[in-house]
Amino acid sequence: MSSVIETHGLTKVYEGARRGQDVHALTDLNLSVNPGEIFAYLGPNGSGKTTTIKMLLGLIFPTSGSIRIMGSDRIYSSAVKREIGYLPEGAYYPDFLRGEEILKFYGKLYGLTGAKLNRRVDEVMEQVGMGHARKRMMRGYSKGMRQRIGLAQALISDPQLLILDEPTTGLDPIARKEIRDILSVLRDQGKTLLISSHELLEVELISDRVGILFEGVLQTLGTIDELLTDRDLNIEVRGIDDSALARLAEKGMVKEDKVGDVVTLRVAESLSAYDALELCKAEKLTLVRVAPRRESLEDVFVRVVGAAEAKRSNA
Amino acid sequence: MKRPMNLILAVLLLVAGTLGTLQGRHIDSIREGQVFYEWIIAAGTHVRLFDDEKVRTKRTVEYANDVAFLKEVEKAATGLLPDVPREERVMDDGRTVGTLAYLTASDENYDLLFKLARNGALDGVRKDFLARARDQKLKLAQYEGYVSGANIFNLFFGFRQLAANFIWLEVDRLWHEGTVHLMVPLMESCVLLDPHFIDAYLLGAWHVAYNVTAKLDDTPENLKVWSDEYGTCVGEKESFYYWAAEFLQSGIEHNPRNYKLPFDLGFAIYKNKLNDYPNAVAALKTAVSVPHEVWVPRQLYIVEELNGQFEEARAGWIDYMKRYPNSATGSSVAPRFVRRNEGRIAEKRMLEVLQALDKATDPDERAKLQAEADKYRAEALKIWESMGDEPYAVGRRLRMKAQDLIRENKIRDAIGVLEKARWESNDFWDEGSEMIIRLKQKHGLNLSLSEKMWILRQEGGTDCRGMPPELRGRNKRRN
Amino acid sequence: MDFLRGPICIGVYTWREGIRKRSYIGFLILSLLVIFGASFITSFMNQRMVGEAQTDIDLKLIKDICVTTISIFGMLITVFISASMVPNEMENKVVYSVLSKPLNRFQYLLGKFMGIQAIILLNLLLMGGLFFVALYLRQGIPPTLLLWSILLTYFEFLIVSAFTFAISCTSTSAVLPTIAGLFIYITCNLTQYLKDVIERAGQTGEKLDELIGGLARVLYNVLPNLQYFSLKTQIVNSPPNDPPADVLIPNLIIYGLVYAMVGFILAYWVFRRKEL
Repeated sequence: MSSVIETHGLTKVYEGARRGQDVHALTDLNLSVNPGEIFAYLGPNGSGKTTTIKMLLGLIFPTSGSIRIMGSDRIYSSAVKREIGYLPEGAYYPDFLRGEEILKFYGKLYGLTGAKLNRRVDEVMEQVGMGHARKRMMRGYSKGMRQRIGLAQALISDPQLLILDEPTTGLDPIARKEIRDILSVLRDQGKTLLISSHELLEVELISDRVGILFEGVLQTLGTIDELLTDRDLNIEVRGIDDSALARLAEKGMVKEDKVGDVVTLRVAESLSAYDALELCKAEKLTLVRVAPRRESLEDVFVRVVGAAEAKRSNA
Repeated sequence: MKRPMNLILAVLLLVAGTLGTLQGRHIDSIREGQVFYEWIIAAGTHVRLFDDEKVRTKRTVEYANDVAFLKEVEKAATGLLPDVPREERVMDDGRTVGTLAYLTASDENYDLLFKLARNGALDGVRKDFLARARDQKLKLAQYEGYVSGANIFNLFFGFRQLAANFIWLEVDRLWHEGTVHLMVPLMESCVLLDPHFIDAYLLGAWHVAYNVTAKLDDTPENLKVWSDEYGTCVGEKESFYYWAAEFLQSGIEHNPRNYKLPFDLGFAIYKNKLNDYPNAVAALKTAVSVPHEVWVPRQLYIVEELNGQFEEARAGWIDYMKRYPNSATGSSVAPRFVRRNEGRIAEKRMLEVLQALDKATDPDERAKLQAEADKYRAEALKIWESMGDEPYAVGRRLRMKAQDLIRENKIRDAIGVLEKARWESNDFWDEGSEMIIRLKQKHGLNLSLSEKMWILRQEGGTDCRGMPPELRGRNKRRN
Repeated sequence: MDFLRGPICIGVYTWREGIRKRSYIGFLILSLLVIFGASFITSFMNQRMVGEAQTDIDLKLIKDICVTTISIFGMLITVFISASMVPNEMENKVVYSVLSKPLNRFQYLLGKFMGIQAIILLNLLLMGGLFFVALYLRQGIPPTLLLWSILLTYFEFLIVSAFTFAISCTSTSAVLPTIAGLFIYITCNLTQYLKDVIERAGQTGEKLDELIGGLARVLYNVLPNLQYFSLKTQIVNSPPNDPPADVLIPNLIIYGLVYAMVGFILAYWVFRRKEL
């Protein structure tokens, strides 16, 4: 099956008041999201995530480039929109309505009526674990409950594609976990999810693929495993002096950290583990620990973003 | 996709905007017609009721432009108006008015008048009218109602009626405060803001004619000032009465379908304050000609009687009995008034015959006339007797007896009878008192001090400052 | 019917949300108090007035106060509601959820506009109803002319509402459109001024004078003239079956509808490609 979301050279430029003040919110985005995966769309605040999502939903219009959703380029048509569920970031729901009334309102917009609508409301309420609170007024909801109602309204039409903008922002750890669990279940049901976030830990645990966006440019794209393949070795030693450090660094063992008198040395890829240990022995260092080092998504993020920033400042 | 949609929207917008503009111009033309129509009714009403060419009051001068222009309009509308025979267009006072003015008398014609005011054939005249109204050359045009224009009315965003109310509250406050002299200009602003503020006209006129003057003393005749406007001597009180009358008249012109205004003009001002019965009859007839309350025609017939129009009064009362058979007035009061007027008609005829008798020389004719006079006398007496001890009839019977005594030259007895009569019958007081004084004067009997003063007031006393010499010494009492 | 389902749904939602707005409820209560209070003012007057016509003068006062109250408060409610509905949704992002549903922007705007009209009508119905009852109790016969007056008031509001709505579609906050709405009301009430300017300009023959006259003519033809609706205050006190009023009322209704259409087309034009 072809991609659920496919963009080619998608660019968005907000025109400034004067020439040269244009804001390039998104530049030449080529993205494809495959069916049945959770795609994490990462980037710091203001990097263009929401801009992309709004363009996918037809809330704003691309300066250039194309978008195909479910294989169709008529992304503003009802047929396409029917297959998209969207949870906006920090959305508001009127206080005077009950949870189920909000769902009914959105359900009606999809043309659901009568018993069908009621059944669907029941289903999504159970799905997001809000069955017990459906009759309560919105003003009595906690932040987590509101977010779940938001999720429920996105699910009301049983869409194939879910676009979630910062779904866990501002929630406590338990609520985050609960949302995360719901999302996993949805993936298992075969839905495609596009989750934008700047909270890496959240998506690392559930996402299949990650795209990192910085300043409107997609910096890297791949599965979690692809991104985190780089494996390093860390050796922790005691009793090292400055001259020994300098000598080791020449050979490819760089000081990374120092806690008390324990120094962590990072072993370069070029150096094998055996050679590294030999070198330590030669310097008469006390070996504390030898451990493999796996890069977290955060590290990738910092590295990618850092590199992009450096590139920009050089230019 | 983007371009064609913009084009479609632009075209739609243009079409809708053009429609809006066209509809706006259409409404403009209706509103122009409305102003014109309202002016035609006001001017026509003015011509019908108040444009007495014999008396050039301030109003007739002020409204001369309106009257002249109405004639122009009528000329332009020839052929568009229904044919009303000339004799139908003769007013009570003998003036013949134009068809247009004649048509304003009945609200059944208002539809026709409005269609006329909007008629394309009158485009030129209407344009002329609007230009004149804008330049405030026509007193009766309510132009500011149409164009809020460069004036204070804009401040109220069309809520001029409300502003009028608030001014009225101020009038009310001034009245209770006693600073009545400040009320008049405020009342004028009031009706300028809302020319359909009926109660402002009514209460304003009533305040001025009754409450303001209540605190004033009568002006002695020789201190009054001659007024060309009203053709009479005017004292302090009278000037307020006339102001009230004009205030009501302007109200009638702007609200010709309201009976209250002409009723108050006829009853409260002309009858009660000015004793001007001919004008009172005219005003009350106007009140009766539009939809009115049951008590309106009653006053008309009473004033007609006072004005000596006994036949009209009698016919009116008979009509009244038919129209309101179940009202207290219709069933019990009206029949008495019918008798009363019949008696007066007989008396009047007798007087006419006696006057003819005085001039006649031929003995045969004299005998015939005498018989006729006796017949009328008997007829009148029969009526008065049939009315029993009703004070009015008692008064009339005693008056007849006194006349018999005078004929027998029993002057002192006659005076005695008249004295009794005027105490018996209220209605007879003025007439009886005058008869007594005249008799005493004629026969050289002693006059009381008040009687002497009355004579002084009547003869020569009516002269006032500024009076034209040819009118000096004329007795101004109307009845 | 399918096309209208979305708008109706949005309209109902707008209506439910609108009638809970504090500004709306505040103005409504205030206006109802004034209408109710008008009777007290006049009963106070009653004791001080003398003469025959006293019952009529307070009747007139009640009528004028109430018609004016309905106009002013109704206008405020109209402007506030029309100005805030769309910007508020942009602010709290409801518009994102709604427009991501199978519903195009035209349907969305139509729904919002219908909801706003429902609120304005409800408000007129409440104020007019109370006025109607007050008058009925006072004079004993149903004041039918009042109904025409209220109908005209609605069509006046419809124009103000449509243009305020169009401006609100350009904005993300309700402040600017509210001010603009009040400005529209005032300006369109002064349109009649331009007629005077047209008549008086061009007399000197100077270029500038002619230019001003021409400009006034263009504006006079483009701007709606709300002064036309001053008929609403006139007919309440005038006798029934006045020929000009009979002709004017249907024409004013058409006028209101046409300008509402202009306003709505403008709103859609602005909103159609708006970046949300």
